[in-house]
Amino acid sequence: MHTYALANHKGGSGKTTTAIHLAGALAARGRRVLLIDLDPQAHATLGLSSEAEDSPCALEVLTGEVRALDALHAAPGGITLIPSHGRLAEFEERAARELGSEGVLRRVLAPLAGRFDECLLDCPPRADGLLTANAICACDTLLLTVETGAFALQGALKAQEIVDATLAAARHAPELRVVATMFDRRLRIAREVLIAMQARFGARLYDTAIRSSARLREAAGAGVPIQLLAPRSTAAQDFAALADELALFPVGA
Amino acid sequence: MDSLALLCSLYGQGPVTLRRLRDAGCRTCDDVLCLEPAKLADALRTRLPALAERFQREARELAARIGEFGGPAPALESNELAAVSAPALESNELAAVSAPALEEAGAQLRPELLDGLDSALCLRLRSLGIDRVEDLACADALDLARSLEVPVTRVVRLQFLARRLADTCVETESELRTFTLLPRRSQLSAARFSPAESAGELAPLVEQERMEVWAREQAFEPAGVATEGAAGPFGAEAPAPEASAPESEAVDPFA
Repeated sequence: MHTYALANHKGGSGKTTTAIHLAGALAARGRRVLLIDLDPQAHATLGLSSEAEDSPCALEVLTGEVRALDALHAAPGGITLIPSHGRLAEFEERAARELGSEGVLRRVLAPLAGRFDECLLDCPPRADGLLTANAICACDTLLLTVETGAFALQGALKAQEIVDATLAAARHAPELRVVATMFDRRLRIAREVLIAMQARFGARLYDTAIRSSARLREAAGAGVPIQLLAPRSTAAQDFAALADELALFPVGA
Repeated sequence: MDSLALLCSLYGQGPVTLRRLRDAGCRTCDDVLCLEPAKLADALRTRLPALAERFQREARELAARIGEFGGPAPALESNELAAVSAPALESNELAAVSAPALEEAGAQLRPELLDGLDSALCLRLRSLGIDRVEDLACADALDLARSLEVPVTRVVRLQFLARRLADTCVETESELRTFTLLPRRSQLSAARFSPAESAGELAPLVEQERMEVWAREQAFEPAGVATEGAAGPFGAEAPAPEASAPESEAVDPFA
């Protein structure tokens, strides 16, 4: 199982949207995909028409009250989901008092290794929290989602600093990749940011820039991945191309 | 992201264009420049060589900017930014565009060929060297509007009709509108980018960009919707479109 953590220090950078639709694109290729919502806001959970009010969520998995296998939900588009809930915020509080708590997720995911081909971790919008630290320590590839808008580069560079510090402390070295999101070529700012990202990140930046699309908003409202709502849309094409890149350039390539 | 992927994201249809160019054997912007316009047009699935030539110009500018030729481009000082400009698209360049085999694209502009193209406008277009439908389709909308002293939205609409007549590779009206509303070539070439200073340099662009988008959206609203002095989407201080856009854009030809 290859694990990707989608993170950024900045909110609204497209982490959840990328997680949902990239999972959908991978599932559409026949891959067995697990999506774990690590954001207490539970937007990935809501974006896949799920909820964890009365069922186990990522909190119970992380605290060991429930096995990861028992928290799996079947979500639209062939995705398997471990949902989130507002109570996941308690984890930061509880685990902060324990040593080595950033390695919890890695341990609880180990039994799922043979059941899935890809695992996507949707992180909360802060890179210096314990949930993101868990995701970073559990992942093989850290996917930094960077919006092609104002302050995006500053947010990405800040996230990279925090990630580097976390990795140094954890003695773990996942591959760092960057994906540009919300790209609108009509906007000069977006074009300039994309050029700057290409200069800054080079080969670490995926060839596919996810274009902004009204269809993505509609998909979030419908609670399905874009591959189900509008399989021929530009957004579906973008995520398909990104999924192809993940397959073409695995870790270490 | 390599330079070809960047080019396709900036000026093409993203991964679709990238796949087509890679299938045609292109790996860098340099490869795009080395292709014959006709072959590039085939690769881009367009029937207009002029669009291929335009894509090559974009590739040339981008390659120069990101330093694909001869190593990384040096970062520019802020006072140099304004001094950098791409070669303007002269009207005689438009006339020099090779004529396609298409009868429609090569058709001479004449009154009533396009909805809204009257004889007076036709004469003025010819005086600028724009004789054919293809020339009109490929012209810079903003420059043309200034030269003709007509609203830019009227030019945009005429270009849309011209492209539809020429049956380009662009498939939908929204794509056409997007394509047409790309900024002028001189705007696209603002400056080489210094990554270290990028975030700071971008900040002044933000407000300007927001206002441009807002003004553009207002320009497409039916007449009467945007009232003078109305509050913009970014607060009460935002100027009415008549105040922010050129005077020629105040009249809506779509109404």
